[in-house]
Order: sequence, then C-alpha cells, then structure tokens
Amino acid sequence: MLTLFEQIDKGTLWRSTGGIHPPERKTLSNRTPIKSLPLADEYVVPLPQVGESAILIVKQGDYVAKGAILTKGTHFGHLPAHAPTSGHVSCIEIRPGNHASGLPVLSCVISADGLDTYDANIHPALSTNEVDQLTDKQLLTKIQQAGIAGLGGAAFPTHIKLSPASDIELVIINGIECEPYITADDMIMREKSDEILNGIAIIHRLLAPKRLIIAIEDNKPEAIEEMQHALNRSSLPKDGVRITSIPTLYPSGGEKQLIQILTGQEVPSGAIPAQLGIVVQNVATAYAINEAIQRNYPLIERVVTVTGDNTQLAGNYWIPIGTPISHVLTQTQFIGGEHDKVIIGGPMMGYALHNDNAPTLKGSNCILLPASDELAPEQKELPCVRCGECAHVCPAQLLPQQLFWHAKAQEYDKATSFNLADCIECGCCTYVCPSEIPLVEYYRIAKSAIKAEAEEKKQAELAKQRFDLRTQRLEDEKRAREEKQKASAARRKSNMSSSDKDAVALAMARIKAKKAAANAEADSASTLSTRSVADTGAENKRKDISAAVARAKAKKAAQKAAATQDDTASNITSSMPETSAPADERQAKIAAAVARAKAKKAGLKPDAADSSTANGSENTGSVNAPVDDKKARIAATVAKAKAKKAAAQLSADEADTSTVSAPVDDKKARIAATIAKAKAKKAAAQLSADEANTSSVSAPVDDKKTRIAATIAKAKAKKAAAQLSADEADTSTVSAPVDDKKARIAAAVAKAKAKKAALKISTNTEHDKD
Amino acid sequence: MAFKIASSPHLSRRFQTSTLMQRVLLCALPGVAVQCYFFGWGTIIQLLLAISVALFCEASVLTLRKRPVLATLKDNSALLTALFIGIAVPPLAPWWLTFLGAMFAIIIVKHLYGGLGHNIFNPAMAAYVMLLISFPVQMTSWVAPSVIAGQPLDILASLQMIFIGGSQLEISAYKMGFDGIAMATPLDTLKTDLAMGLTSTESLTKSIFSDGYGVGWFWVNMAYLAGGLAMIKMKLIRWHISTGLLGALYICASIGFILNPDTHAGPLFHLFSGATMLAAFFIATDPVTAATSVRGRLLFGALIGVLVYVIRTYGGYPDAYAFAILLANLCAPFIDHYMKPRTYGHRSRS
Repeated sequence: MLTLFEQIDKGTLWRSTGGIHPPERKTLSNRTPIKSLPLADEYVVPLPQVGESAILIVKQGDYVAKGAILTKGTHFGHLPAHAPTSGHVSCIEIRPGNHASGLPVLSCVISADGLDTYDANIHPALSTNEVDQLTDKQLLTKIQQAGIAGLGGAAFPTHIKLSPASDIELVIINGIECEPYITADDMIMREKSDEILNGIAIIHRLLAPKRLIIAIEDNKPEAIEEMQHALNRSSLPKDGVRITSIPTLYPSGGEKQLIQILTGQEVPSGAIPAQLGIVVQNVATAYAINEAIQRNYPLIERVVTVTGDNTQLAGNYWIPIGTPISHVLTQTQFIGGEHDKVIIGGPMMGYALHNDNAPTLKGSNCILLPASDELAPEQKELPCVRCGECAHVCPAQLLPQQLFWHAKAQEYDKATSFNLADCIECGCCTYVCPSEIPLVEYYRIAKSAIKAEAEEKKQAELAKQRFDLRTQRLEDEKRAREEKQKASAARRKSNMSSSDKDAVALAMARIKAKKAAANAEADSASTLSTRSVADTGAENKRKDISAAVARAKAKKAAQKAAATQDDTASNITSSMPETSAPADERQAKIAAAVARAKAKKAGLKPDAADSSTANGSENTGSVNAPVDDKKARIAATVAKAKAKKAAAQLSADEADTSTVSAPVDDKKARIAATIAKAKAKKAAAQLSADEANTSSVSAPVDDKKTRIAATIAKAKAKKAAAQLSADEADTSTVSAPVDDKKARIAAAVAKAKAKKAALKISTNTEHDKD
Repeated sequence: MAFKIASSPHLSRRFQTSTLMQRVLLCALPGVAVQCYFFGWGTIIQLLLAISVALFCEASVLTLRKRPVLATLKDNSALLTALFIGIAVPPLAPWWLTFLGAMFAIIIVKHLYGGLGHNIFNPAMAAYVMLLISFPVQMTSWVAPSVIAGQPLDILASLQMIFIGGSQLEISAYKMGFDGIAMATPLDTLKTDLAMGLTSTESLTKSIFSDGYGVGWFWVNMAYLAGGLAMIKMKLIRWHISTGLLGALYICASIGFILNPDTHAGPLFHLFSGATMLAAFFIATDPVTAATSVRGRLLFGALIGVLVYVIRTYGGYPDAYAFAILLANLCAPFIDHYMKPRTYGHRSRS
C-alpha cells in the first residue's frame, strides 16, 4: 500500500465523478502572444470595502502615480486598491459594477494623464538573495500591500491563504483552466513561466509543504513544456515539486474537483481545503506574487482573454484592473450589438454583463463576446423526462433532477436535504439537459431564498433575544424603583412627628370620606336621607303634611317606575300638594282620601309600587292640617300647578332653589315665589341635574311662608331628583338645616328627592323610605 | 451599451428530447425489421395503426389541455410509445385491440397523469397489460413464424385478417393443410409442455424451437440487442438498467437450470426468447418511469429481471415483461429514495 505522497510522486490520478467535455474553442485566443491595449481615457477602480472596513486616502483632484495605494484598511483581510495608471482622481462616485447583478458600487475614477508614470515604491527586481533575506512576515505584508487576490475567479485575499492556521502538506498550483474559450492562464504559463516559478518558490517557502503539484490540463502541451523547463531551471527542490498533466474534463479546475483528482480526497462539505492540509493557488496568482515581492509591483493588471466570434481581435491582453469594458470592446473591434451577450468569465460559469460601463476586476479572466448563434440558442424549457443525465455529469454527485423538482416547487427544506448547498454551479447539468431546463438558475434562486430565510431566522432570533433582555431589564428597573420608594417611604415615616402623622391621616380620611360619599350607591344615599328626615318630622306636628306629600310622591314614583307617562305623574303631583297645602282637618281628610284613591290607582299598575301606595294611604289618615295661614294654601296650589306643568315638560333640573327662596318675605312672597318657581322650572328644564342644591333650599326658609317655599322647593327638587344621579342626594346637607318646624319642609324636600332618585335606581329605595 | 442578459451556463449540448427519442426509434428499427421478416406484414400494419391512433390521441388531448400541439408532437414520445404497442400486440390481432391499446396508453396512462415526464407507468406496457387482461385469447395467439407456416400471408390477407376477421381465412388455411397461422409463442409452448409433464429438453425438440431458442425469436432478440448496444454507445441510454435486468435474469435462470434442468429452461434461452432484449434496452430504460440514480437503476433493472424469471417460471403468463416493468415502475420512487448517491464532501449517506 503506497502512501498518498508516494502515489502523488508516481503521478497517480484519481477519478472525479461527473464532468463534461464541452467544445473547447481555445484556439481562438491562444495563437497570438499576450498584447497590451492603448491607455484608456479613464479608469474606474471599484472600492467596495470603503465605508465598511477601509478608508479612501485620496480625494478628488489628487494626482496618483501608477501603482499608488488608494485605500487604507485596518481589517486583516483588507486588500488595498491601487491606481492602474498615473493621472488625477477625477471623481469618487457610484458607478456600475462588474457583477451579475449590475448593482452600482462606489468607485474611484482616475483620468489618465497618458504618461503611465510608476509610483516611487515600485523598484527594479530584487535578486534571489535579497528576496531570501526578507522575513515571512515581510513577504506576507508585501503580498497584502500589493492587493493580491486569487486570480482564478474567486478573488480571495492571497495573504490569508498563505498564512494558514494549520500545517500545509500539499500545495496545488492550478493551471487547469478547464472552461472553454479561456486561455489566459495557458498564455501566461507559456510566456512567464520563470516568473511563475519564482512566485511558486515564494509560496513554497511560506507554506513549506511536503509536496507541491503544478497541475495542468493535457490540452495545453505548450504550457506544460514551458513550465517543465522553468521548473528545471528554478531553485525549487526537484523531489517534492512536480508538474502533473491531467485529462481534460470540465470542471477539473474547480478546487474541490482538482483535489479529488490529485489526491482522491474530498474536501468535507462546508470546510476549506486547508483542513486536509491542502492549499490551492492559481498560476496567475503565483505570477502576481513574484511581481509584488521582487518589484513591489501591485496587482494592477492581469491577463484577460478577449474572445468569441463577436471580436475581430481575439486574444489575450494585459489589461489594467479598472479598465472600462467599453474600452476593451472598442480596442478589440467588437462587432456585436445590444442583442448580443457580453460574458465575464467562461461560457459555463461566467455572467452576462448588463452594460459596458463596468470596469474589469481582479477576477475577470475572460471577456467572452459570442455571436448570437455561437453558443446555445435560447430554448423553451420542456418537461423533465427524468433521463438522469444531470446526475451522471454532476461533479458533486448531487441529484440535480430532484433538486430541480424541489427548487421549482419551492420546497426549500427538501432541496436542502438533497444537499443543494454543495452545488458548485458549474453548469454541467444544464449543459446536458435534453429538456433545456435552466437547472443552475433554479438552484441559484433556491439558494438565495434559503439564504434569505436563514438570515430572517437569525434576525428573528436576535430580535427575540433583544426583547427578552429588554423585558428583563424593565423588570429589574421596576423592582429597583419599588425598593427605592419603599426605602424612602420608610425614611419619611421615621422622620415624621406623630402630630404630622395625625394631620396626614385626617386629611386622608377626609378625602376618603368625600370620595366614598361621591361614589356611594344611590339606594343607600336616599335611604339615609329619608330616614333622617322622617326622624325630625316625627317630633313635629306637621309631619303629617310631609307624610302626605311623601305618600303622594311615593305613588308618583311607583307610577314612574312602571314606566308610565309624564302625564300621569303630573296628575298625581297636582293632587299631592293639594293634600298638604289646605292644612285644616277636613280638607286634609279629603286630600288624604284623594291621595289614597290616586295611590290605589297608581298601585294598580305597577307591582313594584304596591307597598309604597299602601303605606301612603295609611299616612294620609294622620294628616292634621297644620297650616295656619289660609293664603298659603292658595299660593301653594298655584305653586303646585306650576310645578306640575314644569314637571310635565321638565327633563332636568338645575332647580336653582336659592334664587327661588331668596325673595320670600311676608305675603307677597307667595307671588314672588310663584314667579320664581315658574322661572326655576323653566331653567330647570334646560339645566343639568347636579345643581339641585338642597342646602340652599332650606337656608332661606322663615316663618309661615316657608311652607310655600317648601312646596316649591319640593316640586323642583323632585324634578331635579328625577334625573339626578344618586350621588347628589347629599344627605348631610339635607339634614343640616333642620330646625323646629321647618325641618318638616326640608324633610319633605329630601323625601321628594330621595323618591326621584329611587325611581331611577331601584324599587328597593321606595320600600326603604317608607 | 446595454447587453442581453442570461444565466450561466451559456453553453448547451444541443441534444434535445426529440432528438433522443428519434434516435431511440432508429435503433429499434433493425428489431422491427427482423420481426416483420419472421411474422409478416401484420407487424407493420399494427405499427402504422398504433402510430396514427397515438398521434391523433396525443394531438386531441394536447388541444384539450391547451398545450402547444405541434411542438409537443415533435418530441417523438408518442411515436415511441406507439412503436412499442405496435410490435407488442400479435401481428394479426384485430385492429380494435391496437386501437384500444394506443388510446389507453396515450390518454389514460400518459396524459391523465400529466403528460410527458409525469406518468408513473410505462404507457406502452400499461396498455399491453390492459389488453392482455381484457382480451387474453386475442393477445396470446401469436403468428406462426413464416419459416414454419411455409407460406406467409401477403399484405392484403394480413389487412383482411386484422380489419375484417380471420375466421374465414383460418378455415381456408386449415383446408390448405397448414398447422394454423396462429399459434402459441415458444415461451407459451414450453410452459404448456412443462405443465403437461414433458421435460424442457423434450419440449425444446419441437419444431418451434428448431434453432434452440424458438424460431425467429432468437434473431429478433439479437436485432434488439444490437440496437440497444448502439444506444449505449451513442449514450442515448446508460447501461445500468439493461445490465441489471439481463444480469439478474441470467443469474436466476442459471440457478433454476442448475437446480432442476428438466423443468427449467437454460439462461440463454431466457435471454434470447420473448421480449427480453426489447424490454431490456428499449422499454425498461424509459427514463420517465425508471429509477434515476446509478445504483437505483441497477437495482431497478435487476428487479425486473427477477420478476420476469419468477413470472415466466411460476406465473400464469408465458411472458412477463409488461407485468415486471409495471411492478418495477411502482418501486422506482422508493428505490430512488433509498439510493441517493453520497454527495461530494459528505462522509456517509444520512
């Protein structure tokens, strides 16, 4: 059993899976030496890193020499950009990018002065000895400062690849160039083999591998020969370094495929070759490394294959990085038009460019200008017949057909389970598909959708974490606040004297009492008022009047409770004051009888009113005509009548009794009273409930006429109470003014109000007040 | 200047489904020619009949499904299905048999499942099984090879047999002293003989087995084998299914023959009789209904081979390809599911 190195030394090759043999068409461009193009008027150097990890160190108008550094970055992966020629920075702006998306990118535009003056840092080539004296670190810094990126297409920073974390046992120099049409590496190997070998020697020194293979496809015999000669001339150890020719097959030049062919090993999915102890570098990169080390010459130009039937000067050119594609097209006599494709890269993996304003990049190894019938004509996608050719040619051993079904159905989880992520987008499956299905396109869409999904998930997870942290933080803050408050409260308590405490407590109690009173339920309020009134009235002779009044009102209340109309209510009220006003015995009896009759009537209607009417009639029996002044009766009747009327229309109350009662004096008081009443009623009709200020009602009451005023007040109070919300029946104020005789009146007023309130609230109140 | 945009790859093999089908058809032609030579004009007539019906049905269904008619007809898939039906039905079977078969294959088996690329079963084989089960008598009376029958039917007589009916003709044929123009196939004969207690060696002495494999059938199989090998060479098909099928059949037949030579035919007899080569290279390899991965295809072919041997030896039908292929079609998705190749960079299938 031979070891891997012994097999490598023997030149053993392993089989790679899949692969295709597309027409090569390399002879279009590899028959002439590499040429240069005349200088363009302006060069566009894209600066994608500026603003992220780098800063621009030139400004508009600055003079830059060829090879001058334009950007400075701190990131270890940063590659500086260089001026491809001497001239002035004409502007720094967003320009169309050289990318499949065509998205614009920040670019530094240099208008060439035509002199192509080199930067002072570029010096004549060092001797081998001088190079040997440089430390590894110096070498890597030079490589980084020269802005060297992988020239095979991926443009990965080379200095990172050359300073791996693990030991490297095998270095592969990739001279495969398996894509059809492209001959840039072929030509540079033919013409610059010694320089390439010098670069390889630097790579060899930096990585110190056990073996180094320069792999070249067997369709480039001239390149193999040149490289073999150069290897023989070079200082590289002959036993550990070899050139291996491998059979032509697309995509052998892919890093993973090349490793498989040369070592039989597979790069684990999601890993890099360095994990296997392998590093792969492109031949053109080796050339650029040599330039950077020996001459301090940055990567500002590369060999680009310009080929296809749409150019009349197909061949390879040294083209400065940042040359507008339009300049290249003009100089190579592009004969195509807008209906043609301009492909950056090869026909298998290259991308079609949106327009020719874009510049060339470090990774642009080919500008393919096919005539419209040169490549595959556009075909309509046909149904997949499951022929399985795609699976046969897939170098990643995927099942492209299954991936296609799932990608098309947007079943991305299933596509993922078929290892979509391992697709290298080489295009073999699409190439062989007899149904002309653009498989790679489907995979690209699926991949980006999966990527977007993953990104979304990540963002959601982050958002959730942020939310959790915020909740936690808010809770902590709240707890801290509460603790602080508690602490300060305790401090206050201990600081306070006992008298202060009492004062505070008293104030608190008062506030509470007020609040409680305001919120007290209607029934309790009204009950209280009726009870207190009844007590005071009991001492007095005239309590019977108020009783009668109360009864009458109770009747009315009963009726209202039964949802009867205002008319009936007013009828009853009319009878009620009649009963109370003519205070002599007989009349009182009659009034009582009337009241009873009415009460009965009322009682007939509502069930709820039964008890109240019954009580009412009992009380009427005890009415004792306490009213001395006869005229008072008249006034009373007048007032009553008015009150009724008012009640009939009244919706609410404002019964501002203070104005009513104020002018009451002597006899004429009655007249005034009636007038006032009328007015009060009217006012009440429009006003809102709250003003039924009963305390003011009772205040002005004096002598005999008080009765009149009282009746007036009662009538009004009733009305007010009818709409009044329970809270206003402020029993304390009602009971306050009660003294001697007038207490009855006040009592009656209170009762009336209580009734009204009761009407609104519940039938219970009626039971209570009686 | 703005340019045309397209997604990579920009290069294509320019080898389309229609070309593929067309070449498969061409590769089948030698077999068809040999079949005609041995079994008369009937095969050609059935072939033309099947093709016209199939194309008509395809066009009608495409119109109903609002699909491009001409472009789809050009993919040649209906033509290929019709070819297999035409050469599978007995050459002198009544016309309505072929008619029904072609119609069933195109409308029911192909288009009701979604058209090209979506059918689960091989349309030609499903139609054959339908006919075999529905009309066993007509489907099992094969024509005697012209070498035995002596005087083959001319084209007019064949047309008459197919479109009018054969009773008159058969009677006259009997009067002329023929053994009959319709007779069992060699496989059928062998099966009947074995059932009657004869040994396979005894049975194989009959005139129908005069060249060791059944008159005519050996050459028919050889012609299809040649066509099949050409297809593999041209990469129209991959070798896996055919190899799996023939290999499994050979192994099964060898085991049976070694265990009991008296009641079992030899492996070569199995390989070169009946529809073995036609099925192995032209029918089982229908990509739409077969497994797709390399190992899956080997298994798929082997499954057909085993089933064929089992049904030929122990089943009630003399030949078994239609049944075996349909059963394997059923298993194809299952096989594909468990035969995923290990992707590059993945240690194991998980």
